[in-house]
Amino acid sequence: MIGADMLARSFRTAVCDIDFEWPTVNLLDACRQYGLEIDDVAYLAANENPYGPSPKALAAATESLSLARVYPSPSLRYDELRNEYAEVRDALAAYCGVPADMVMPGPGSETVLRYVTQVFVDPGDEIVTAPESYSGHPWACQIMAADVRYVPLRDYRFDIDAFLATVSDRTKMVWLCSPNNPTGTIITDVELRRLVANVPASTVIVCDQAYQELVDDPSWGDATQLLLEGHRNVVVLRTMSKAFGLAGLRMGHAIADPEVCSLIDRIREPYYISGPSCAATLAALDDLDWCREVVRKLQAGRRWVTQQLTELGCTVVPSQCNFVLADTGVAAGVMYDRLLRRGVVVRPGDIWGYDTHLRISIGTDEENRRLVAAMAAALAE
Amino acid sequence: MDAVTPPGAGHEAAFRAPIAHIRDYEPGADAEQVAAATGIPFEDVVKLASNENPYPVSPSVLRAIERQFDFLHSYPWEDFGRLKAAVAAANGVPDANVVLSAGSAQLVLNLPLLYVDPGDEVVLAPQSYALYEAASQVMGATLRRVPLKDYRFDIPAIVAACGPRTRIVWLCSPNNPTGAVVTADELERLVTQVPETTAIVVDQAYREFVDEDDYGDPLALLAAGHRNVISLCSFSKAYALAGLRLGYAIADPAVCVMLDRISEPFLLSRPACAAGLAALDDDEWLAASTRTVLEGRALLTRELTALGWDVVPSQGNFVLADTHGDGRALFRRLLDEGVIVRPADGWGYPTHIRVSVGLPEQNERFLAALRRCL
Repeated sequence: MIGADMLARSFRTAVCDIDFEWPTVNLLDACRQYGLEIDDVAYLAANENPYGPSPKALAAATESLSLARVYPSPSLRYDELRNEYAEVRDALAAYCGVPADMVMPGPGSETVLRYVTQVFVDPGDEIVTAPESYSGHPWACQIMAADVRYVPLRDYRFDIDAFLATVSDRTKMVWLCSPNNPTGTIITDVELRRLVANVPASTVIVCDQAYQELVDDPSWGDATQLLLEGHRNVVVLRTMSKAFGLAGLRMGHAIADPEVCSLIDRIREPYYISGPSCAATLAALDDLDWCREVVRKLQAGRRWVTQQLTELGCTVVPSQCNFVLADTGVAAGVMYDRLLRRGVVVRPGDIWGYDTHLRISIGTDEENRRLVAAMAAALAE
Repeated sequence: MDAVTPPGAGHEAAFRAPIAHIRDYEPGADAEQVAAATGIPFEDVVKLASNENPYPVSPSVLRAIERQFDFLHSYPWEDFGRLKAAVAAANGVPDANVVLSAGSAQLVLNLPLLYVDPGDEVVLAPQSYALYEAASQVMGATLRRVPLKDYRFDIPAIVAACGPRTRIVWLCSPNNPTGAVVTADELERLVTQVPETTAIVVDQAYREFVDEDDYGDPLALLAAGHRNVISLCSFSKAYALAGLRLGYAIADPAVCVMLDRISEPFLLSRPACAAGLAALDDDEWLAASTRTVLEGRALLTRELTALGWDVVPSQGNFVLADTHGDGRALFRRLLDEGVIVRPADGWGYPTHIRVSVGLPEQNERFLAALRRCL
């Protein structure tokens, strides 16, 4: 009979060594503890879009259920005629202003970023990332046994000079996130161009732009533009989970050199995106007015929450996302509990080393008002 | 063979060497494409090529999915736990033995990430689901290919092929594309003779269609303390939810912890979570659907045998038949009739076709088209 030690010995060291756990939300337990009704909780912890997807996307997803029993068409190529994955690829390409062969859709951008690491990262390869950024980036690289180098943010922003000082010919991959989760800050076009120009062409630069639609700062740098200008080592990640409100359907995509897309195409599983996700994505991209209106509301909410929290004495990092990072001056865990008791769930910042910060997603106007009221009471405790 | 430039070869950033060896997946032909090419209305095209379940999805499942549409903006964390508990209960195991995934193919891709370092070996059959090979190659595995014998996994040869660097043995039971099972005796023999540090993966995507008594159940071996046994299960086949992407693994809790560690935190879609929960709650539908498939399987086996073909006895929702002619040529002739089957030459069966079991009227249409083709 096999013992636990023996079984553990059968796992790859790289996976055993991953020291990171995804934060788990057990809201049901929390509600029970504080006697809250789940429907009364303002859940502002996962940067979801409270306005949801276009009604047209819902209608399309509903209609697609008549085909729930069959696999979606698996090919990204138009062999002779049209098919679902190829249609999604075309629609995403048109939306992003790139040729279709530079788009690689997938079931969520997390899955797509894993494919990118599987294409490029060999054991021991060096990758450079920031510790105060989306944890999925180093996680995916650690699965591939990468040697992860962390370059801390400076004043909540990517430190381009320090990145360049760390990158060498041995660096396989650089991870950027702009706007950045959890700080909401951007990498400017000037900074992005300086980084890309000074990194070896053999180093892959992955820029996660999940929150791109929420940006209104004209100095923001779009990595897609650099890719189109011929920097073939740039890979951009996009998602339908944020501005398009389709987090529950799992759809994201990479924009990359056609050669890189064809490599990802080779290692993905054949039927990887669900039928409703395809249908909803096509309809959502056909109703950009909805998305624009939702973005306008989220930006207004962002401004209001920033102003209100500042008035309460918090230091709020200027955000280009659908969340804000706020320094309350009180330990994050303590504030989390105080807000939870009042039915408002946020994300404590200590997992990123921001021990007195909270990351707060922008909700509906009503949720934002509840947050501010709860925050005022919590700070007065 | 001509030298082929692998994709990515012109790119400045070197892609990983193992990726170059992966073969492209050949999917079943698409019904919409066939409809457009032949002029046959889409509704009349009979697609018996991807082992999908022809039975209409349970209405209770459809209602459960539609109830999710108000919540599509949010990640499905609350149903995730409920679904895990329901899957565990359905399989008679604790929750800690379950890993959920967006289709069991995602687990096929993740298992080599857990077990295979470059140069490690995996043992598999070339006449089985093609993804085991590609997924292992992503991690740089050396493939030990052990051909089937009489359409069945050759257990003594598999045991002989296992060495100190063998990390995974890939089994599929019932096997796609042959429909044959690994028996209880065979599975026990394999598990007791292979080193305990080798993962024995049994893909049971088709298990609900099994009616043979001596079918080898990996869950029984797992319960008996063989902690290296991993079962993969699917909602795509018996539960007819191929379009929603939902599957799971049953394994030792220590294995499950590691598989969860390398899974995305939000990997299931809301419709998939809700559908899985409702599907497990509708035994009546499952019984009716499975009965229809088994009757169709018996009919196809009988009718194709009557044509003088050799039909491999199947425990899946498909049959593999030796036509004694050119299988791909027959596949093309059937396409012109608006019937899609799967040519089997990719598995080394050039004279065979694989036919998924359809609804009674689809099976009849296939048989009628076949008679016209022959």
